[in-house]
Amino acid sequence: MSITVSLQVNGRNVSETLEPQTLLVDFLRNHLRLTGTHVGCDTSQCGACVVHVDGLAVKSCTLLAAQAHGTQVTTIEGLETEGRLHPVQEAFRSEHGLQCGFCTPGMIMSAVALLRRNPTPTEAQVREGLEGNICRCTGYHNIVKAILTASTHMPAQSAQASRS
Amino acid sequence: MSSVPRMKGATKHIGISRKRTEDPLILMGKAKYVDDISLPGQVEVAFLRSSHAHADITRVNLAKAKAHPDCIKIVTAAEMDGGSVTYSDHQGNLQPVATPFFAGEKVRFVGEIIAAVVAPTRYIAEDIVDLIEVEYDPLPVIFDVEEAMKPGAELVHEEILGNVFFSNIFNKGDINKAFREADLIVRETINTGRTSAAPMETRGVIAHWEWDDTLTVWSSTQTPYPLRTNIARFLHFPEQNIRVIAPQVGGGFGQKAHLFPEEFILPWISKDIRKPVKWIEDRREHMLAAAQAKQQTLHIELAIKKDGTILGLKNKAIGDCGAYSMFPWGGIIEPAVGNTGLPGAFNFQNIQYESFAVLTNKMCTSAYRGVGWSAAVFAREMAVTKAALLLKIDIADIYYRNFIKKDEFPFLSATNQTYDSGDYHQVLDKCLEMSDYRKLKAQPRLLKNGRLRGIGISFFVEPTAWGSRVAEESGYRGITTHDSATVEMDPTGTVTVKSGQFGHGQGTKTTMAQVAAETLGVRFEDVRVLEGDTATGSYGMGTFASRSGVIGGGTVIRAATDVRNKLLKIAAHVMEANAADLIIDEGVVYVKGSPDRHMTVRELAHITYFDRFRRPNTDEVEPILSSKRHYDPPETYANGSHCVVIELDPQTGKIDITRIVAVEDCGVMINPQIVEGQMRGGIGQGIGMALLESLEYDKNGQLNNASFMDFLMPNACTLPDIDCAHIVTPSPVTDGGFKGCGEAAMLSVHCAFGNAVADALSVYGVLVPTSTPIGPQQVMNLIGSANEQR
Repeated sequence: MSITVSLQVNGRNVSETLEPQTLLVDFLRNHLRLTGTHVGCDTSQCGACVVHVDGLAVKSCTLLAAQAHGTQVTTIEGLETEGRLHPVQEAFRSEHGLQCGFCTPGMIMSAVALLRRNPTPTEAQVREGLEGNICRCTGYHNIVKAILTASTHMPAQSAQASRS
Repeated sequence: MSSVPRMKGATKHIGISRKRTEDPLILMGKAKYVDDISLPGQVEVAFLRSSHAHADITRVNLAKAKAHPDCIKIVTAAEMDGGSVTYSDHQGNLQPVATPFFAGEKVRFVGEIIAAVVAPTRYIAEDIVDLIEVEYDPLPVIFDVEEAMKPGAELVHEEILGNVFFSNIFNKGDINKAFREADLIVRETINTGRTSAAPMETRGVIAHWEWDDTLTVWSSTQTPYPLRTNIARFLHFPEQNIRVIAPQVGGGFGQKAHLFPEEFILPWISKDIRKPVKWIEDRREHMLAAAQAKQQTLHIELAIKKDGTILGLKNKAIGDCGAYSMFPWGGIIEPAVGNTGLPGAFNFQNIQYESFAVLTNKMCTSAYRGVGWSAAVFAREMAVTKAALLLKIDIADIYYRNFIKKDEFPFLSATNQTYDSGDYHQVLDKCLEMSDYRKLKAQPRLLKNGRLRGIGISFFVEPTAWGSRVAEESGYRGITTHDSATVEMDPTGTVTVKSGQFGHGQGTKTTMAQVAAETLGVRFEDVRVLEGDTATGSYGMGTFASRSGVIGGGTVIRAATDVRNKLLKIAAHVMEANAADLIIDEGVVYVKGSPDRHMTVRELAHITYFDRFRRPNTDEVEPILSSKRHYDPPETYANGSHCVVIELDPQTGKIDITRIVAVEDCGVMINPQIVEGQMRGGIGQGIGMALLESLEYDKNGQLNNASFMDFLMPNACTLPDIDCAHIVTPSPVTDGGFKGCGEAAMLSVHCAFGNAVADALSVYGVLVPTSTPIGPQQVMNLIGSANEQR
């Protein structure tokens, strides 16, 4: 039995016929070839698969594609505009907030959602906001610094810019 | 000593925190890891893995599985002709232990591969795996190393008596005299916990055999060239027809510097079924069957004088190496390599150590950041911590008393490691000053919130630049390890570096470009580094063991120097000047003292390739600007110090980290921001090892926490900010003056935590941790033992 799932991904309307058990992350990666969203743990701990569904950061390995029917989804690929990096992406680069890069897309999606909720977080609030994202390379220091840097450089509208 | 130019004093590109060229693709989600690659017609593999730790396989029934309409192929040991890879570095009493691709008649750990199922998708392949019926006849499980070594113990491999496949003994100085003359002898048994590097990207392989008998393998590996060579060796495939690509790799930390059975099985299947095949490890498989690390039992004895002078050290290190000896490092890497690092920064010369590599029914242990040394230095430091408390001398003062002094280099350590340089006093001074160590130590431990503050310090010496000589000084006599790079100047004056290194987080595309730009005198933006693909690189061992900065940097310096000299020779001819009078700066060649006489590198490169009327006679000077060079560096040892401040809750045993300071001397820094990234990243993993992580095998050899749900790693809330500082003593022996910096914290920061816990608990008495991780249970047990003593 297949089902049809229709939703908006990075501002584009998509409609696909899927096996009902297809996870949102597999739908994004395998059907739409949006491979920037990663799978790190299979059990919702690591956060490499974080995307935005209707503006909320969710772990796409723990959501069925069917559950995203009728929503607006933003992935890491939807964050830059015409080759211009989002301020959070820029800050990750300038602060060396990434090494191997595998956790980075999920980390950035969590950070963008965090800054939307709280545009001027404290260091402690940033750390708390990243509790669901594991990085094995950086010791988190530069990730936290990047998010704090982005919060000071981000115009109010950029915080809303994620197409949701 | 080499005659190539030194980097000292150079400033244009070396020592500058360039933004990484690797980053834009990653940040946009466009970098391609193995799982992001899909080939037309690709099929997928799922593995049937043993559910028993030790058992005879009495029957494998494939009938139902083969009857599945989507089953393409099932491979077992019989199909692959019992193939195996063997660690066989002949030294000491090493008995080779073959690591089979598939378990045959016996399984020896939970997670060992019994069969590979090929199907159109992973989902279907997993369904078919469930249809395979395996009958096991369970055997007694060998769980504990000291039990395993007893006479009459069950054997993991029948041919390896006593389950010990390697042992060695080392003596230097007069250890008996040292212990006779000691005012205090500290004896401890230390157990370091088994952990996993757990990179965020699991392993994964795609193999594609084609009809011209070429084979392309994509693997999440740290070592693409050795993988190519060993696929050729063990699968009897022509090496010139193999291309190995390590695409974007999501962390390795030493764990992916092994060659795993899956990396041989996939190519074999692809050739057999003539289709591209793909396998992506899931996290449970990773926890069960990717190399594990760090588990040792160490019996340490320290002989020390009342004034804190260390007279000597004895250690018996027993590595819990698991069921096989993982290729190419082997299980000896824990106990034997660890012992070589026992002296650290201290000048004592009396030592005796023994190493035993012991087989058990668990996954193999092998390389992971700080391998071997993490355990050995923890044992030493807990003994020194105890001595400091008993002698009532601050441990920092014991360090100062026993340090090798800056004018004593080169210094031959008690284990015969040749330390090239350093200023340990200055590094420790800086660390103590930044952390307010003396002031905090003078304050009461009990805080107003009822918690106990603990201040911990540690100091490390790190063997870096893993070439043949450091490998030998670290216990691998037989291993030859060196690298090469090609530097080519293109006809438009831009530069391509083809490297044998392969960064998977270290930023070597950036740092090697900095080294090339500095050496050649061109712009950083005009250099591109190719790595991670055996079709476009240059033979090398890959990136691990704090080696790439030094060895990769050295190969690039050497090759770029050749190209520079060639260019200057041509420039001298074209510009009618003396080559010795020419300088190159940011892509422009000037005649010294005549700034008006200049030409761009671009013009000169064009003339070299295309203008036979202006360039020198081609019989004398070939019209190419390219060089390939090799480097196998002398030994170089980095050093540094960590200070941590904790608050410990004596009611629960919980430890909160309030401050971390790291000071490091890795010689000349190519890119300080990247160095600090390595320092902080190592601290993050070191905290996991120190306080949180433990792979919990039960007595039946079942792994009870084979997922991130149960395997506890540091998150952003575990750590505070980390303050970093640098002391730079350039290596006098390496090209560029570089020393490595990758593993540092994993030889140190866990010791600082052990020291901090002992400091916090000093209100109860002399209580020193004896195992890692130092979790709440151990803290409460230590407090309980103090109460019992009263």
